Amino acid sequence: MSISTTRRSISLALAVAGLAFSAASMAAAPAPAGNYKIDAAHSVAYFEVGHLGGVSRFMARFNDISGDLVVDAAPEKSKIKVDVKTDSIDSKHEGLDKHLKSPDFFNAVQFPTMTFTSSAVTLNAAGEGTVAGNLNLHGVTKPVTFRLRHVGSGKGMKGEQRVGYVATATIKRTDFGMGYGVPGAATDEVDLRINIEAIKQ
Amino acid sequence: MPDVSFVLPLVLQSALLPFAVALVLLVAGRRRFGAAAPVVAAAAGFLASYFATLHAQWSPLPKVALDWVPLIVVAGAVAALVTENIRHAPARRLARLTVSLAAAALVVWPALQSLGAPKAALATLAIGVLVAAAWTLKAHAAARRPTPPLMLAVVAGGAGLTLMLDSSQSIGQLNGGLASVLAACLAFNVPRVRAAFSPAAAGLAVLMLGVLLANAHLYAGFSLGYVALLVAAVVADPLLSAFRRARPEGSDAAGWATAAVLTAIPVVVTIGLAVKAAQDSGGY
Repeated sequence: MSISTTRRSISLALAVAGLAFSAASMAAAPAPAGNYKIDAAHSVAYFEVGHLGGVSRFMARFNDISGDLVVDAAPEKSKIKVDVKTDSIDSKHEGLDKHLKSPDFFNAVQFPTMTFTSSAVTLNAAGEGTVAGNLNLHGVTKPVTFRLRHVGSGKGMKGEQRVGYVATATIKRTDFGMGYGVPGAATDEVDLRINIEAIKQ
Repeated sequence: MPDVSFVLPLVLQSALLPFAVALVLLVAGRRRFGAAAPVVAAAAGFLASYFATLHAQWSPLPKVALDWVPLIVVAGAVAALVTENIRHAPARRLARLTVSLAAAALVVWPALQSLGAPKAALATLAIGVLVAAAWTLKAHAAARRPTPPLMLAVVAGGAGLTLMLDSSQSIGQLNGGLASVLAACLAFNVPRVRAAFSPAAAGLAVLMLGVLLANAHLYAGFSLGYVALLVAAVVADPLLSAFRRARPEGSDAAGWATAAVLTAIPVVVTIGLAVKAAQDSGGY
C-alpha cells in the first residue's frame, strides 16, 4: 500500500467517524425544555391504507396541521396536542379528494378537525419512545399509542429554537365509525404518520 | 368488464333487495294496508336498501347526518299518511311544509359547526320550502295520473348514478335503492291488481329524494348545478300537466310520453356532466 493511499484511507476514516459522531450527538441531544408551537410549513400528517383490499399501498396527506408541544427535561411530563383539518386532505387527485371528504370516509363537513391529545410520553436516551393519548377522528375518541422518534433539535434561520419528531401508529378505521368499503375499497388498517417540526415560543 | 365482486353487492343492495321488498309488501299489503300500502312498501324497501348498504355504520342514536335517514323515513311515512288525510288544502300545505322543514333541520343540524347558524338556517329553509313545493306538485299529480313513480324513479336513479361518479358512493347507492322502490311501485301500479301510487306515497318519495340530495350537497360536495337540474326534472311533469290543462290537446299517452322525455333530459344532462367531469379528472 502506498503512502498516498494510506493517507486517503485515514482521511476517509476520520471523515466517516466525524459524520457518525455528529449524527450520534444530534440524535442524542435532548430537545430544550419549553413550550413549542407546531410549524405548519414543515409539518404534515400522512395516512397509508391498502387499496382494493390490499392490491397496493395508497398514501395521502393532510396539509393543514397545527398544535402545541410542551417539552420537559423529564419526557413523561411532556405533552402534545395536534389538530388536523380533514378538509385539507390531499391525494394529488381532485376527484378522489372530494370522495375522501364525503360521508363515505372523513365526512369533513360534519367532522372538520381530527385531534390527538397526549396523556403519556416516554422517550429513551436514543430519542425513541411512545406517545399515548386520545385520537378524536370522525366524531369518535379512542386511545391510540404512537411510536415516537425525536429527530433532532437546533436553531432556525432567525435563531429560533426548533425540534422535530416523527410519530407513527396503525389504527382500524372501523373503530372510528369509518366502515364504508371495508375491505373492498380500502383496508380497515390505516397507518398514520405525523412529521412535526415545532418552534419554541 | 367490471369486477363482479364489486358490482354484485351494489346490484343486490341498491336494486334487487329494495325492489323485492317493496313488491312483496305491495302484493301482501294491498288488502291489509289499503291506500297506505305503497307508503309502507316504499319505506320498507328503502330501509332494506339502507341497512344492506350501511348496517355496519348506522347508529340508532344518530352520530352522522346519514344516521338520521331511517328515522326520517319512518316518521316521514307516518307524517305523509296523516298529512294527505287532512281535508283542508291550506292546512295540508302547512303540514307538508312543517314536515319538510323538520326533515331539513335534521339533515342540516350536523353541519351547524361548519356552516354557522345563518347559513344553516338558510339551508334548512331552502331545503324545506323546495321539498314542500315538490311534495305538493307530486301529490297533486299522483291523485290524477300514474306518472309520478316513473318520473321520480328516473330522477332518483339519475342522481344515484351521478353521485357514484361524482362524490359519494353510499348516498349514490341510497338513491339507487329509492329508484328501485319506485320502480316496484310503478310495476304494481297497473289496472286490476294495482295499488295506486297515492299522494302520500308521492310525498314520502319526494321527502326521501330531498333528504338524500340535501345530504349529497351539504356533506359530499354534490354541486348545486346538479341539484338544480334534478329539481328541474322533478317539476317537469307537473309543469307540463299545468300547461296541458291550460291548453288541452292531444292524448293522455302523448302527454305522459312528453313528460317522461322532459324529465329524462335534465337527468341525462346531469349524468353526462358527471361523466365528463370524471373523464377530465382522469377517473380513479
